[in-house]
Amino acid sequence: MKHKIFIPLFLIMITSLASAAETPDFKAILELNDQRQTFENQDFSATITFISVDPEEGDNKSTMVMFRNDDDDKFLLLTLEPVVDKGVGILRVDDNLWQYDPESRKFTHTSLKDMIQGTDARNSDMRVSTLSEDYEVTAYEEGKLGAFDVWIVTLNALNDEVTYPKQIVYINKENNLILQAKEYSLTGRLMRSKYTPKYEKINNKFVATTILIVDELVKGKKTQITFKDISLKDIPEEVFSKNYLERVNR
Amino acid sequence: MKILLKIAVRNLFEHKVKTLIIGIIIASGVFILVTVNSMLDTSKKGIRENFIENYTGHLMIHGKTTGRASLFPQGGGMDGESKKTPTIESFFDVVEFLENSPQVKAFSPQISGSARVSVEESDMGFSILFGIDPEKYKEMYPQNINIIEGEYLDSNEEGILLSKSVVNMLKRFSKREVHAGDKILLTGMSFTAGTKIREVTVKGIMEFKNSQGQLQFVSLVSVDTMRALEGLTVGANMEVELSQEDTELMDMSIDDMFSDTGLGNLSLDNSTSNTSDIFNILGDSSESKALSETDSGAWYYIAVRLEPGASIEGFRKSIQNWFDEQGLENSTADWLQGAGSTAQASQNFQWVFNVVIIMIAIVAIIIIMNTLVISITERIPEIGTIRAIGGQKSFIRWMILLETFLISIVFGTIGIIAATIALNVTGAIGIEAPNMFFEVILGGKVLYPVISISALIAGLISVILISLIACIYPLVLALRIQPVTAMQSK
Repeated sequence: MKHKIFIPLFLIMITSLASAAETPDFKAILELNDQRQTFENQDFSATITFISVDPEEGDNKSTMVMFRNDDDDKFLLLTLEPVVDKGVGILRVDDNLWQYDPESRKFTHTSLKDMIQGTDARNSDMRVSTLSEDYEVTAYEEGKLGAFDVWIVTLNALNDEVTYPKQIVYINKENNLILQAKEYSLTGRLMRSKYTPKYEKINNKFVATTILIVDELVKGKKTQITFKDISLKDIPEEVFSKNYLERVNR
Repeated sequence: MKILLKIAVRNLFEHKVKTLIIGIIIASGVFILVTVNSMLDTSKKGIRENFIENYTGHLMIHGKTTGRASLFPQGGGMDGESKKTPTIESFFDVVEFLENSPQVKAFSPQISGSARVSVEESDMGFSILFGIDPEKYKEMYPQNINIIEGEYLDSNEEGILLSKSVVNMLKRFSKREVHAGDKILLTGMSFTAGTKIREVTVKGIMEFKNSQGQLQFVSLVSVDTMRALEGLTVGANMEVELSQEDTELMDMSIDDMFSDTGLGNLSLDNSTSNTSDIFNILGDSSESKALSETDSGAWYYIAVRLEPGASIEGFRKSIQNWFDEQGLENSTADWLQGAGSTAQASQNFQWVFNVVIIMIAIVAIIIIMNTLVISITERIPEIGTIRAIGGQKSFIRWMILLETFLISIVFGTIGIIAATIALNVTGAIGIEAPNMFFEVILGGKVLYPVISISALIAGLISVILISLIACIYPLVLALRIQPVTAMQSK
């Protein structure tokens, strides 16, 4: 009799263990994603092009140079194009985020949630990735995205500082890279879809070099972000300062 | 007719309770209709005069738009849309046309927008901004603002007349008081121009006279500051040329986008981290400065006030014809459209009220009809006897109609008298709006209602109509009564 009870129990345990073994540790995957996109002990710079297409408002092209120091979570974005916005800057240092207008030579506080110069990109998109700190996994399922097998993982925010309280991310099963993110408002409305089809590998780090953001509120409005001229060479400390923005605009 | 009237009056007195039930319903209906519609008419008239006199003029001229143009920015200046507001085409020619039109008394061009307001670098409030030509604005609206502190804007100097409500907002959030002479930062967040920051001197602190909700946070600012915040610069309309590479992902399907590994090895570029390059990265900025100059012909609207007696529609037609002749895609809008959602909300409320009244009227018809049916049933022997002694159907018909008509007139008049008294009393003491919602409905902080003749006539006609509709079925029942029923009854 005892054996008859133990056999099904044993089978249940084996099945549970097997399924537990198949379920990946999503927290660890998010940490891996953050870690692989964070440049410790190295500075990061790139030229970023934002192309926005809006069927009603017309097209918009901005080129900015980005300087980033992930150890101190600081970055600087400086507009090179269009000429009319040349010198406009966004600076993040010590949890402060400033916007600089070279015409008036004035700074004002801005937010990570604000959009970058009329594009669909937000200041938070330029910051070091902190998904594992800001979100918890609440659901997952398996799926397909193009040719790739993916985990479709629902993330809910752990704090109200994030731009989107909920995201559904599509994680490539093969290399654990995030290929797509659907970003939702607090009311559950889909706000943006962010596609990341191209990553470039530098040593053991990954840089998303081409990103497409689809505005889900304005039909046909899209922004393509392209990273070029990527460098990991040291950046002078004074670049991450208000003085630099004022000096470079003289 | 005399006999009919005598019988009708006698019947009404004999069935006092039923007469009173119907009468109270009728009197209350008339009272509500006349008082509320009079209040709404007074508020509508007040809003119209107030807006035309102080904020919108009789009409406004605007550039080509697919949305509803409004002087108040709501998501980029067009009601319900988050879009770029178009500027007036050939502004200086339009001004010349207005200056040569004898029907035009005054006009004032305007750029509307909004901005974050801060003292030093921290955002602490916001304000709706009207970018104006101070001289033209004063000519157009000589009495529409109270300057609480400081002075009016100077045409030759940049500055802002800051709304008192915005000053209070800054005080609440920053614990700092702003006074005339202080400098504040305005940060424009235009959808198309991006973020623009301007420092301006507070020339004065003001409030609009007869203001209501929508105008509380409006500040008046020099037009060039407004143009800078809205990105109305010489280089604003430069064409953008995009290469195929720029938009390679835009038209791709998801399957195409994720068809291969998407992974590559990066070749690093070290050119940007050369120190001398970093500090000279922007190069020559003279072209940028030239393109950032504000466009002196860029205006969103021109509010126009006509001479007394001039036909608004006539002038709209004549200026539209001129736009067509010149090939300009400008257009005009009436004061109500220009006034935006607040004034329109007040107008819409009257429609909502009338829909509610129609629903109440249906209920009233059913109650009156039911009471009349009971009354007719109780009077079957009496009606049968009238029929037996030779009374025609038409006699019965007129008898019941006359009874209903008498109740309507008597109690309708009581309702009108009560409404007149109520309106005279409230007209003398005023009705204070308890909150911003009612300020919008009443068209200001206090409403002094006056009786509206149109509301009075409409009230009386509706109540007579309701009574007549309510008596159709009882009338059919009464006409079916045969003379023999008089003998059959106990």
